[in-house]
Amino acid sequence: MLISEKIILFMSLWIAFSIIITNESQIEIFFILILFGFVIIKEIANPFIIGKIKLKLNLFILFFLIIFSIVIVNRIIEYLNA
Amino acid sequence: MQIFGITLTIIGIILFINPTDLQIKISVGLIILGTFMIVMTSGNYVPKNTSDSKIKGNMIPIYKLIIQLKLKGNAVFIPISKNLKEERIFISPNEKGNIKIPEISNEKVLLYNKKGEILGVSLPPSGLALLDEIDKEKDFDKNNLKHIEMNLKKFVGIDLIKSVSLMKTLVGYKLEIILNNPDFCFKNQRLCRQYPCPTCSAVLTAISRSTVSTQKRLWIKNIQRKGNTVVYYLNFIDQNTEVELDHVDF
Repeated sequence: MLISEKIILFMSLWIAFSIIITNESQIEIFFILILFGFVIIKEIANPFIIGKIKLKLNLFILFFLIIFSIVIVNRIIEYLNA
Repeated sequence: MQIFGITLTIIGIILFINPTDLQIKISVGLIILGTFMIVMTSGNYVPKNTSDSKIKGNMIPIYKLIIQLKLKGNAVFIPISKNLKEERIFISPNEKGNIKIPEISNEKVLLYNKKGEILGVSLPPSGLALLDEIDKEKDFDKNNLKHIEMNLKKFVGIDLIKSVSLMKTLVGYKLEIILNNPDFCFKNQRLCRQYPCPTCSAVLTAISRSTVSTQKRLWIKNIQRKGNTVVYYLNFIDQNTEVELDHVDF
């Protein structure tokens, strides 16, 4: 099994796990959990991955960090308006 | 895998039509996973037997050169220096007795003395290009042998080898490599000692690169092969010392 396949397998299980535990919660928590999944797999696989795989993982982390920032900003605005 | 990714993305998009709360999460999850699969598995790949044949074609002439020149010595990895822009493998003509490593430069391949007798050959390691591809961040240059095992895991990551370990022994170092489907490998222990295949060579060059600051030369003392496992017995020799091959203890 290739390292990229192992990463995909981990993320599949992580997303399934995230769907189950955020069943009753809002979708923001689900996005944050997915971000955690990407960060965890990046840290675990870091010694084994090189070049393009590292770059692709970083891109996904960056994308979810942007979503995370939007969620936080949204919450702050909601709190200030309340 | 890409087709699977595309299918998951399409299912995710379909689930997005008139969704419930749970369906939104499932569809978003499927879209993320599908996109992730497509991105992670994209790229151009050459079938293994094709790439093996390409490597084999490059290795055979070198083996023929070694046999033709009757070189019997084991490989000595020469690190980068002022006169040398890239690592080299030096192979001496004699297996036993004193081996003097002559001055090695970028241009010279066949090394002769003033009488015209051959002193050995200096060849670029077969795994040099592979190592440069893996070591784009130049991690091996920065580290000494204490951290080398961590960096060697990169070879496991690209599925060339199953595992690699470097242990210090009483008389040198023991490098154990478990290869992953070594279809290409010639399984000839003599050739492994003299001019290792690209995978083993890349690992050995990486170890040699890690000691570039000390200018020690990595010498293959012996090799043991069993199935996919290759064990190299290594030693570091000083730049200006002559190697006594007669007195090797394992």
